[in-house]
Amino acid sequence: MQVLLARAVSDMNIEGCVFDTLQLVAMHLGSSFSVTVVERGSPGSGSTGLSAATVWNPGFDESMPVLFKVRNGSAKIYRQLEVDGFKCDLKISGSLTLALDASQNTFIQQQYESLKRVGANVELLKSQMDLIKLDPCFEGTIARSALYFPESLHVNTMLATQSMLDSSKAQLIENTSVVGIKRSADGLYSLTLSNGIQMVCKHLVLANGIWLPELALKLNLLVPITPVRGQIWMTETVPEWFMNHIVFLVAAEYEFARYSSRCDIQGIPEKCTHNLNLEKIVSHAYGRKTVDGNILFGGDRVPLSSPWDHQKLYAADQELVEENRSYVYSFLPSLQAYEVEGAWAGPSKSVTNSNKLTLNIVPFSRDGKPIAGSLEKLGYANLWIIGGYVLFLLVL
Amino acid sequence: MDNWRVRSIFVGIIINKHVFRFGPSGIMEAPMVSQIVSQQISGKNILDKEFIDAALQEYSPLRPGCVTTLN
Repeated sequence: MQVLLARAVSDMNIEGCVFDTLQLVAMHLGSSFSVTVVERGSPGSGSTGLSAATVWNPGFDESMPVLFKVRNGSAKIYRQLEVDGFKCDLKISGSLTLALDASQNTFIQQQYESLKRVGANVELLKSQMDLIKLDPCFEGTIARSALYFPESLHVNTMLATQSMLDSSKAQLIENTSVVGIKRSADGLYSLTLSNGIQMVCKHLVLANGIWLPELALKLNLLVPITPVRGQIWMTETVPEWFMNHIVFLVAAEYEFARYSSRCDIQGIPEKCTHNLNLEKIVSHAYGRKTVDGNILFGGDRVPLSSPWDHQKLYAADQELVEENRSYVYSFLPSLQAYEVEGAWAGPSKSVTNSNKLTLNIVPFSRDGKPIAGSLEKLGYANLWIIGGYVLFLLVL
Repeated sequence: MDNWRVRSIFVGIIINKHVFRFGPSGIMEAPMVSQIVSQQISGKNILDKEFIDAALQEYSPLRPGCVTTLN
């Protein structure tokens, strides 16, 4: 969790999230504002560094909707970072979305036609042969067809986060969290940090991921964000020819087009793959190759009751991982030839060396859309919120 | 400012939502979401206003079932 507070034009700090939101806000404002980032851990720690960091990018067209532009614009930001000399290990590998049965096959063809109509850069691979020709790792697959998006990409999340911060010229305070927020009669926000320092600001941006509801409560605000657990497993290094595209499955989206996992009473957001009892609702998987040549796969989205129950929430659930692995082997049988290292913690070598299953707790909004904007109409002038968008961006 | 940010490339047309739900992804699209809010804070017109307005409406914290006050 990170914190970024904003104070007027000349003096700004911001409170931020599990991901690079704060670094990004800092980057966007850094040229005009004095920015201080107060970071609970270090930049890119938490689920930022644990994410698969893939960007499904349908390309660009003037008539595209908000979501497409958000994605395409983000891809451009990463590219610009590298052009400006800030490293983020961006790789435009392209992505494949697989259909495994007749229903999904029909669904995917309908999607192809819709996407082409709005100008997406997408190709339809109509047969297994087409798929194998593009990526030989699919020899023996049960996949019937696939959509190929040549402009999809992935990055190194930790590097990208640090680069954003570096490009922002922001001041960074690490290993510090916010323990209190008060609003004074003159409309300023007063923060108490865990190191005892008091900070006062005019503008405050709350964007601290799964911890956002807790922080917002200090201002008597209820933010419906649910912590959701994801797990990713990793293989040993594979040959250079093996799986050079990001791989997604259309199965979950096909199911979610007809079924909602949302339950406001239990706090379960849209598009979760399991319920609170760990019972599976929908199978889901996505994966990619790291720059070091390991294959990552995951896909579970298990809603949690609280971000604080570390013993329960952060315990590795081998049974769910095994289930996911079996599912992946059904459409990518050739992956079984490679040993599973059982470890994943993002693209950072230092983290992957931890050699243990690592969990990724991410914030989901109830309806799956990002929560972004001003809270002025609730009586909180100069209070901003950014969060809950992981579901929106992960699932689709 | 970078050329790509200066260009008014965002039109903000929302068409068939069913289509746009398609295509799984990672969390690395967040830069644009934060840029939308950053533009609101700074008051600078970097992104196209139509796109900003459409995004802020769709992602509003004040939409039904979203952020509320305790009182």
